[in-house]
Amino acid sequence: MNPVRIIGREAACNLGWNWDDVWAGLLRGEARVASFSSIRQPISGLDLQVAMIPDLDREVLDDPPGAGATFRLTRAVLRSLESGTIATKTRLFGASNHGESDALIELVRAADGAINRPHADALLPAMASDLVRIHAPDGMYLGGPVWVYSACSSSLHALALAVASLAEAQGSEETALVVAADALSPLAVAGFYRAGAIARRGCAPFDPVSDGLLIGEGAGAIHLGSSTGGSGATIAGIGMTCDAGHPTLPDPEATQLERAIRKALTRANIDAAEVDLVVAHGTGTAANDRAEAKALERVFGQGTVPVTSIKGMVGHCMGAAGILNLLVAERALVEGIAPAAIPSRDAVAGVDVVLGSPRCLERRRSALALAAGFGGNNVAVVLKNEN
Amino acid sequence: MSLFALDLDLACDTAHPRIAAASQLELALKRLSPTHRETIRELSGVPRARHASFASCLGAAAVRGLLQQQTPADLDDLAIIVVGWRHHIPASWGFTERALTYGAGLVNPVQFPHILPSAVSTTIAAVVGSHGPALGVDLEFPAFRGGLDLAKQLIAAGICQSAVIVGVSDASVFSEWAQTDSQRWPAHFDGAFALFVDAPGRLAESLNASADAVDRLLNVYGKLFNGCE
Repeated sequence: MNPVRIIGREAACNLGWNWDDVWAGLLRGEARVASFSSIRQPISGLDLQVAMIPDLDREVLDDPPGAGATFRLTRAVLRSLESGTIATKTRLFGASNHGESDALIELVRAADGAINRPHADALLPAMASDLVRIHAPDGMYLGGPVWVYSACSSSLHALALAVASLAEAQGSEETALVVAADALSPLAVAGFYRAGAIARRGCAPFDPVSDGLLIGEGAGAIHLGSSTGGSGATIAGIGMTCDAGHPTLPDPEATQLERAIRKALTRANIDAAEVDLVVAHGTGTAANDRAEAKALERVFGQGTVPVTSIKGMVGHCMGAAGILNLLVAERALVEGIAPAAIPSRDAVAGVDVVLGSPRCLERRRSALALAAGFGGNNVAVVLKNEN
Repeated sequence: MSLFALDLDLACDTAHPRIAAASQLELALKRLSPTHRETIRELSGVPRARHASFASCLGAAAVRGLLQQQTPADLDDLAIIVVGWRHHIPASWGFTERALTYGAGLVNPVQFPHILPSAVSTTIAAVVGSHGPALGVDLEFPAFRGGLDLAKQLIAAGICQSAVIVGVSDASVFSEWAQTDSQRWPAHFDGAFALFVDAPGRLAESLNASADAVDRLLNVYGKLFNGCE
């Protein structure tokens, strides 16, 4: 696979509205959580801790129609990159888990007569992807955006499509921009709550006593090019598989996750021993973390590579989770330090989890970022440090 | 060419075994009756099909027909690419109504994964046992051709070895409203259409070998699934 260079990046989540602030918060081990019931939302019974962006405007507006919190997150990270590295000949790839689901709630409430919304119909086509089409300035992007939905693996799938697109355009000056966003959705919080997946004692990825996930919200964007320039990290290999089993639970043996990791390593043309950090999906649920640990142990051996997860701090940012993991992997390679999987105190067998405080990396040759989604999708991305 | 003479069977195009559809007789631009929808749910192989979106059942039915000759090894790196993304709205709508009326404690967790736009592709993957990526992809018009382009790029880049591109239309009341409202297609039609792609070069070859099927695919189904050209 021809390496693809990272030439721009941005992120927003509960730790800040830009990637530098988010990274600093991760190294400090911050976990800013609040009760979901502290914001006005129409579904009762959601007095749960979430990783919330306190100053995110959650109103569903009519201009542009249906613009809500997911749109604002998407726009925030896009505008940051547009004012920086984006030139012409850029293709846009987007990703989301549930899109602008608050617009759907508004529609249902309007249809049931719970609210008066004279032109409620106009909200629907404006959900998520269409909103970004409205936002994208004429002539800034090549063609229409491609929007990918594969639940919480969406952003790394979008990355794969962007990389494939760049491969086809090799030799040109074309670049690709991948953006992913999901705001807190009452529907998703309700679904995870009823599925028994939300932590009651605090989300602690890879901790043997962790009992669930912390739901978060956020956005990430990454600008890719095949030419020289950028920070020095390249996307060297991608592996994608699907368990094709349970609609929500991962395969407990993680057979397909292991395949995805091995495919990514093969395509990057490196051995497992050359990987110096894994930024895991690490949701904090026993089902995910134990399966992921099994796959990592089989590929890398017992406790031979540092493993971290950021979901105890930023929460599970759904469709943006994968791209945030990728940004962490890149920054860790560049700076030689990995954030800890706070607040984990102990780790399941088989993996060397970065616990307590950030860890300096002895080597920083390459890193692996992982994401998984409902329905069994697994994506593994190998980053190489070219410095 | 039996593509449009299906009468609720899971049909493969006899002239081109890599194209399949699950649809209604004579492409009648009509909705399936409740009885016929039940039949499709049963034929789809989708577990707990009543809780899944009908689009998932239609898509799974079509792709099952398409992949009857494939071995498990053929499915290891087969991608499922479902074009369009509003298929989940009927399931989401019911879930949302229940959440608003009764609160979070009484939503159905079995229905939860089906409220996501990705549910159709992953449900199809689970039914047919394919282990490549399972994606829902929203594209500008015409989406089916865009799905073909994405599949070609993924295969050419070596990221997967083959792909099935699926277009599906669920004409239930909410979907019809959604699709018509967004002017994507005349959503008065229940059906699904799937095309198997296994190599960039062979894609062009297979399309040329079945010009009639391709014409119908791009000209008829393209309009149905992706809006006006």
